[in-house]
Amino acid sequence: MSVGASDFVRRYRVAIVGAGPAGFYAAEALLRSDAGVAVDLYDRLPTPYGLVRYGVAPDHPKLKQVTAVFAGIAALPGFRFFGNITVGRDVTVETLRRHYHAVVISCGAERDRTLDVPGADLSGVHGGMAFVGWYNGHPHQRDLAPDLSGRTAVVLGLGNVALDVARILAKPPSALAQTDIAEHALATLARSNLDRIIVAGRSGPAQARCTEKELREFGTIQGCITTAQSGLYPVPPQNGVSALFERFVGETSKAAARQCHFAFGMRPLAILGDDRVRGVCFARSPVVEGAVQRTTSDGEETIDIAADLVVACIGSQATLVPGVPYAIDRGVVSNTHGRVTNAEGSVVPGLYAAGWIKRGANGTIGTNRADAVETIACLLADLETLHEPETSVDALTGAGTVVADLGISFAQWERLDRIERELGAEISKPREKITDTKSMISQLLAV
Amino acid sequence: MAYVVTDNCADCRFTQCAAVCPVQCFHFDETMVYIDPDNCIDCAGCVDACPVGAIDDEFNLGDDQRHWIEINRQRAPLLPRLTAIMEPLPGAEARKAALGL
Repeated sequence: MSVGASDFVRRYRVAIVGAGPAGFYAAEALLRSDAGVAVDLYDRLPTPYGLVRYGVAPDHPKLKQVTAVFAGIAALPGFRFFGNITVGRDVTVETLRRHYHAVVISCGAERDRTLDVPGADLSGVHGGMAFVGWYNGHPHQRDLAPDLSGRTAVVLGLGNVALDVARILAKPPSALAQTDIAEHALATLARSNLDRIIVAGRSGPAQARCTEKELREFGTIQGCITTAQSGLYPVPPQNGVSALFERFVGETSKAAARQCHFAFGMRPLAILGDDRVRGVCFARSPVVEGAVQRTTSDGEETIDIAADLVVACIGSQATLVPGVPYAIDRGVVSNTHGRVTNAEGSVVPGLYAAGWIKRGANGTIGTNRADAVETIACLLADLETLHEPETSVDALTGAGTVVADLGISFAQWERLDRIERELGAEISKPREKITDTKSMISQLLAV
Repeated sequence: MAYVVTDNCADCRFTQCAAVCPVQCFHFDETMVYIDPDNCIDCAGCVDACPVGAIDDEFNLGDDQRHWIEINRQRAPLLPRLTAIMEPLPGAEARKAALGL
């Protein structure tokens, strides 16, 4: 006997906190299971897609096509989106746990790791995730207003975030004008006086965590010559990022409006400056066969490099959602295959984690799919043992509730999406992002 | 520019690639998997997931491998979509060992 879709009973209710890739892939795994699960996906912003919208660089539009997959997940029966709801403030996790069989925390790790050196709080020093949020129009970073009036920027780190930041600083504004970069960022970058961007990593080129594709782009930036520290290898490497870095070594003599330079074995000791940054003091380690030996500081020398702007792309960490009985361990939530564990190491029933908050900030967008599938496999295996919710979901999300009053539905987001695309079309951009929450909501109410 | 599955996949078909593909652009037949270049978003996630190094950026392919670009393009749309990991083909481990991996 076949069971029609309309007869399919969704007797389990799951809340997911954080509408980035991990949240969407967790929703998909739940909705496509035959266990009968309905999903409410919450996000503190009115907009879904997390770091696909606010992390992926504006000049990488192809990666953003993954949003079509997420929109397809949102169209699955049993899915609801509640944007503009901050879990931990508007609704507590404890409240969610009273109304749902299970709660999945997938709110990522977008807080910059602290640069733990003297002077790190000087004006002109920014975190990489904050800087990325700024040029991508994240409502919480729109007022970052980095000062690009100086001539030298130092980007700390050799991961893809460092490469994104360096590339955005290196590109001429004309190369960004037809992307979905935030208007305020494009205006600030158009007035930039930066002509020297130094990307300084602690490791050697062979240990750099960036990917080949992102690195290769540096050879093609209009008006920018890319160079790299020389003399690191007895024999030039033939493969991988090492070979790409080595290719930049020989470019030194060419002239260009801007120069981007990669330096290795550079461990920041202090940010120099009085009222604002004027340089970085590094311990410089010898690089042997492309690698820095971390076990010893032998052979280190110190070197001061002048800088008017410092962007520290040294990793990110999870933010603790208030009221969750979990422990943050090395920047992630303590968990076993996605089952959240408390400080004593026991599993917290009905509480799960997926994505960067579960495993740390690594991998590609799709890594979160495998990650979320693992978590949801645990959740589905636990379903019959989970406590029945004390009260109904309607009592939390129905008319007159905070969630209903503040919440932005997926249909409302789709309207906002259309508005942004229309605004963009007028100026040959794929979209013009609305960058503050109040304007997003007033745009929706005006329709 | 898309990513391309090449001959190391043939007779292995480990399919770890499918678990990390954000857009489910892998398709499969009896011997191997193929990437649909019209759906691939160039995230590169599958490259490191493949245990036999069968996937690469088409930019990196040598002359002896470039024919795989067209094979992927033509085969993928005709074949079923791979949405999750499958059991590797019998003999996959032996083939992996034979490849020196």
